[in-house]
Amino acid sequence: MKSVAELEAEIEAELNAEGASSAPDAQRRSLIKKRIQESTLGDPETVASLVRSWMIEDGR
Amino acid sequence: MAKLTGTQKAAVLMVTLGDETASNIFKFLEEDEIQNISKEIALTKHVQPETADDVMEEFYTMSLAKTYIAQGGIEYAKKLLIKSVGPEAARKIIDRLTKALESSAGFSSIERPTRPSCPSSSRTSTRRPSP
Repeated sequence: MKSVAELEAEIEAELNAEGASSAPDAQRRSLIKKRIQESTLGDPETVASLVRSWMIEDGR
Repeated sequence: MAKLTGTQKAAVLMVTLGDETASNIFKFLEEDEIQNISKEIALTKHVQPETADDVMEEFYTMSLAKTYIAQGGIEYAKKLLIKSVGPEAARKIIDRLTKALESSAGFSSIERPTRPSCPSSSRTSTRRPSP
């Protein structure tokens, strides 16, 4: 498993590679979306458990 | 972000991620959970871009928190989250994940990495009484 520092470094590297300086927020959010989509492909069960944790808050 | 319920946030996330990704997630949710999210999706006419961004950001922070917990436990996760999102948001995220941990077997591997080799002792209590 990657460390947090490695994950953050990866995000930074990808942001730099995509020329994020013009619109860093938009780039970051697009990257976050990509990350979530990738997580869903790799480990959909964990993603589903995180979605479920939101719903538990509703006291379903 | 306007105050959304958990199910509303789940609906916004599904809409934002798209059909293919959402259907992968639905495969691991219970039928009533899927129904509730689908109902919210049907009620949602339009998702404001800022709302979608905030929901994705919150979800991503939760997934990072889960990574932190897996790496160093809850206290470690709390420490790192406080640094990145502040004490109040960190507390909320940890509380939410802890509740999920208590109610979901999906987190049990974090707490108990090994299973007993003998099936007789621990499984007896989980047997359902016959009708």
